[in-house]
Amino acid sequence: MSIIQKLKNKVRSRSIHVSYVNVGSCNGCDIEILACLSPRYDLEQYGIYVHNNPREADILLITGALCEQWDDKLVSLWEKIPEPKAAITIGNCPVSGCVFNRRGSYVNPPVSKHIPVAASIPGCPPRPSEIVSTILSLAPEVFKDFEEKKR
Amino acid sequence: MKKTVDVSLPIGPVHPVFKEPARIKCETMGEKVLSAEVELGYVKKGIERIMRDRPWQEVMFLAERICGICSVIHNMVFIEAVEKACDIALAPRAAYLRVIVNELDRMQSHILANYSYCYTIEHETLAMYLLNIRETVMDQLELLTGARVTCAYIIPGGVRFDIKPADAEKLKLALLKIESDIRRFMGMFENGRMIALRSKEVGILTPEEARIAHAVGPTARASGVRLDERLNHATYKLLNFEPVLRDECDNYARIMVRFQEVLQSIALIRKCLNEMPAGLIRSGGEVGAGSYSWKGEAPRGELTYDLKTDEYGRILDIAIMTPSIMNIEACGHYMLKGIDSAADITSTFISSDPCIACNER
Amino acid sequence: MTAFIYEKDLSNMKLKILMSPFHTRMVDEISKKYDVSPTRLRKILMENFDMSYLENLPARFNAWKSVKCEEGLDYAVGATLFVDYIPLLSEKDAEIVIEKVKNEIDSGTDRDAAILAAREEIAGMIWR
Ligand code: SF4
Repeated sequence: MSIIQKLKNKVRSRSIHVSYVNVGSCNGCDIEILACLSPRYDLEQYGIYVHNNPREADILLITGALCEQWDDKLVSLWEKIPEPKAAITIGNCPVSGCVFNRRGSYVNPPVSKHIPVAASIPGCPPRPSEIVSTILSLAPEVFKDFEEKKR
Repeated sequence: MKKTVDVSLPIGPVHPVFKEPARIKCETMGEKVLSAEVELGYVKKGIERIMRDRPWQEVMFLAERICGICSVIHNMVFIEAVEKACDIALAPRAAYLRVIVNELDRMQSHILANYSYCYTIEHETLAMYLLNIRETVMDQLELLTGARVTCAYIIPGGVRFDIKPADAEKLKLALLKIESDIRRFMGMFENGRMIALRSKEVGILTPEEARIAHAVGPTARASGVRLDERLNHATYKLLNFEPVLRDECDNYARIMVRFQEVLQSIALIRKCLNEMPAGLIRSGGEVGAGSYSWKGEAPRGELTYDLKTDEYGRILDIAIMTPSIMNIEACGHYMLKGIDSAADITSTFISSDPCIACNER
Repeated sequence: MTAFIYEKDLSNMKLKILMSPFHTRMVDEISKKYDVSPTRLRKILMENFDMSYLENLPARFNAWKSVKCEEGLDYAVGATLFVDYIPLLSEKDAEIVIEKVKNEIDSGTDRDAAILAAREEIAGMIWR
């Protein structure tokens, strides 16, 4: 392993920038992400920063069951995120559409149809601690030795 | 009609301060906002359509998932509408338990709204304080209902769980802490000079405009419009409820109304705990045919359910009007107009506590 | 290559908004009162209002109904409705219509007939 890769690994392990996007959720999952920000869970002690700005994000949290306006926008949002990147879906909605996936509704799940999804957290909504632990366990998988693996 | 417009400034749908996707298109001259449009469609799920022809047991959970922030009130108004349509009696103790849970939900929603506002005007310290105290409120909600967000606590005729004496004691203790903290934060907000610069006389909504756009909830009450559906609710009448009113009409007033309502909710919960009669928490009954239109006061304002059931307890027809519909519209077309700086667009939008998920259903 | 990323055709989504139960009721009521087809009315509304406005139309309509301004001509003709609450008319046009009805009633025309004629005129102004 090259020195520069080691350095990158070291830096990346303590600086995970997160952006979240709501593609048609009921808000339940969004406020659980917000709750992670609170001093009680204190995301920043793990080196996770929530910016909600796709251009500087590493991890995209997706909630919701994909509504019409997002058909094209989600992909363009995903493309704006610089490599290395990973998408995590929060809640049942992006996986199956939860209660909304019925005949006559306007949603169009799953999200994985549109962008590659690295991990899913089921639950309606999942607890904040589950969200934190998923981000923490997924990040090293994706970011460790990213350049070497790519080669 | 053509206007002199320098820039058309789009904000969103993904924006650091928006919890939910919406897109505001502002026409500006210099930094002054001439007019604004709100573009939606990012969370349109068509819930009213899928609710039709389903048994009430399913619709109950769908109703709760219209909005995750104020899920308790959706649950409550839907169930009360069903109860009234089918003449199901309500256990007296359960009526008080409903109010307790509803007020806890209102507290966490108001604190979240104020957190968002403080975060938007970049007062992160106060924002984080508020978010932390919100966790304490969420704990109490979990203690009572068993879940943090979508708890489905209220069922026809009563509620799911009784409150244990030990839990009531814990709740009272927590209320003491919440009250002292909220008073402190309210003082910080009230007397902060920087906060006043960003909030006072920004985003004016006159009472006349509030009436035309039919603004509701704290947004209307901050403009001095006495509009609160709790005044028509039987249990709240027993508790001698009086709404909080302010007449500054600006961002500052809207946030202060929410702070005051949190304190009011604490007082209401204490009163409920003291006055709650003993007895069963459920009464019998069967959901049959009927129709009713019922309103309740959500954290954001008045919420209407208009439903019709058939004899098997299926929902034949349902129409829902959520408070955010009116508030977002009032914000987009009246408050944002004439704002002097582009930086105030987001904070004014957030001050009306927009909930896009409610708005679009 | 230039591509406009964010300006999508919203008419489909606007139509979805107008299909909700409260909107359907409101559209039915107005179209009956002014004798236009609901499709036509929906089209006008979609062209004139943005999405949050469309969502709020039933609430505004109800607000207008509950104000019940002195049960007078204004209310019967619906001029205030289309000036303040669902702004499709300019204030001047509405004033002209109201003036005209008042004159007609003063000169002996039946009140109901005059109101009907005024409604038709308003409809004509909006749907021209
Ligand atoms: S998974 Fe449940 S809580 Fe989360 S957005 Fe979907 S319905 Fe809401």
